Amino acid sequence: MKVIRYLTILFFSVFLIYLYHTHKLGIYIHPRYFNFTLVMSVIAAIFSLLGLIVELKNSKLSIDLKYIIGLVISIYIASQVTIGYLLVLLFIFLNNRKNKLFKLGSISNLFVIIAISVMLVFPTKTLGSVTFDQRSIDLNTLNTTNEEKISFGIDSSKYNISDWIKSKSINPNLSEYVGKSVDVEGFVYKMDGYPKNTFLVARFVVTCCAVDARPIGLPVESKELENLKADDWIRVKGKFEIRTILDVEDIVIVPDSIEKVNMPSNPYLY
Amino acid sequence: MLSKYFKKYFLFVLLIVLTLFVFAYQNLGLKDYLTYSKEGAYFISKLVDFTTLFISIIVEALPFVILGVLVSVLVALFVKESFILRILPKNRILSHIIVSLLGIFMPVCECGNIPVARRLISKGFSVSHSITFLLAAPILNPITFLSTWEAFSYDKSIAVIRIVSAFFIANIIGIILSFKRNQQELLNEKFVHENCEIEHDHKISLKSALHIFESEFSEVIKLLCFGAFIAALSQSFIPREVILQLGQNPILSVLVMIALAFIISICSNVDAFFALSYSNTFTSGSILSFLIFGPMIDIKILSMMKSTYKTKLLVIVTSLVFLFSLLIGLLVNYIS
Repeated sequence: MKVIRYLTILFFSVFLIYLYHTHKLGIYIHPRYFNFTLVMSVIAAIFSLLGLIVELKNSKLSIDLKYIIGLVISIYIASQVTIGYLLVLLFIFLNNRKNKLFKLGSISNLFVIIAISVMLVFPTKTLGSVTFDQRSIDLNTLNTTNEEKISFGIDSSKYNISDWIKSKSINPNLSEYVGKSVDVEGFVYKMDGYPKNTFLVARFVVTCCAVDARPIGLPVESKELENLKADDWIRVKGKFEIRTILDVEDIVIVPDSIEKVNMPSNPYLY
Repeated sequence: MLSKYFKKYFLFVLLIVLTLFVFAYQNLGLKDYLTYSKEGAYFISKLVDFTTLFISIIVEALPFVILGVLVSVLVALFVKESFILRILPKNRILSHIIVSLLGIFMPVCECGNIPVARRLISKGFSVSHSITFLLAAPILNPITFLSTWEAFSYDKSIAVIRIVSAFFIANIIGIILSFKRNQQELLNEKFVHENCEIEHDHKISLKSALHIFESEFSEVIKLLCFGAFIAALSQSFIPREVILQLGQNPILSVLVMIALAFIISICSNVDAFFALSYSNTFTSGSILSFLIFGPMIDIKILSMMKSTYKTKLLVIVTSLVFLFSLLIGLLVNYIS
């Protein structure tokens, strides 16, 4: 049982190190935690490896050879026919009493098993339109701290979506934005009730981890919408114009070009 | 009898159901339904977003859990029981006040504090001390204070009210609990049992360090996964719009922000920046209740506290924290 526990710790720490190494940590947490996460997971990995060595040295772990052969055969059959997975389960189940290795035990372990299988099976993906739907009420209410207000530059050519929305909350005079050129990246979000050919180029803003991601977006008016799917990542270059959307005047990007891009390695804004 | 049976075969039944699902997916047209129909595609993206939230909670909390477990190993090996009994004053009120300030030396998130609290209990902390520690440490620490100060730089009183009320709530609840005679009764039996085992051999050796590390980690990770699952589930299936439409009502807004803090389970060190984004649409009392309630109680922490305390105690603590944060939120809304 202890071996399994050490393996579990090892799995979690290796998973974190893997995420760090492949630059996927950014999908889950804010960059300020990256180094801390790496250090802690390396420590946990070392501890669990040491523990494994100590355990395996001391234990008289004897696994039935017949059991191993049976398991291999049933896994082979299972890989040929889908329903054969039942066979593997049945085999493990019948042998459970003798070999405690696969004793899955109490329900409280269930969620650890779920977590591990989710980490193994599901692709690492950022949040998308579905979560945007669910949270869209707090759209475009980014507040700024005083320090940020002071550090805001005059050069707006490198502004991302969050910068534009912050600057709109500091200076809500829409006419000043008309004609300014925009160059932003984000994913396509099709907003309910928007006029024809209008959609949002959207991002999530994260302060801690994906759990607190808040959606923001700038409206874009373009006929290209037909060629775009929700959640496609795009780069929009264009200029701001004033339009009335949902009975409110707002600035809208009228693009010169829309190109499809790959998801950036830091999908969220901070 | 039935529950024993249920426990034994639950996982097996679950695995069979999963296998049947895989079979249906590949052979009975479920795959086509999920890939090509509109509802199917929606369900899949919902599921994928759910997994992202689920893993994100675990990934965010794990480093803090590891740090907490490391500190608890150090406490277990190097802190003598007599030492804690010596430095803690005999006075009920004074001792709780000192415990509530420990967070200054342990400025990590709430989930890192739980393994430490478990170890401190076995070193002579009473249950009431440990509850005061758990409630106070996430808020009464330099990082949380600075981030709140920075986030709400336009209204410094928020940071001050937050830290002062956390201090009082943690102490009042701890002192109330300290009147319970037999503190051990408030602990989970399983925890008491394991504690005896660990305390039995407290030789300073690599082996005992590894043993404590492994048993603490496994105990906490189980409940972290459970808490993360429930929190992610409630986040992806309770629309936030339902919650957030009530922002300007002085009473409802407070209740809503407490509910949000309960399900969202984010780290106390940075939750001020998150709360900041609601400060336009929500009353300042409700923002404060969020900042006070969230670090003390949420789905994830409750689930992790379950490893140590009896459910009865958790219900009492949760309701007290709830009432206090409600009170503060309402006071701020009606006075200012």
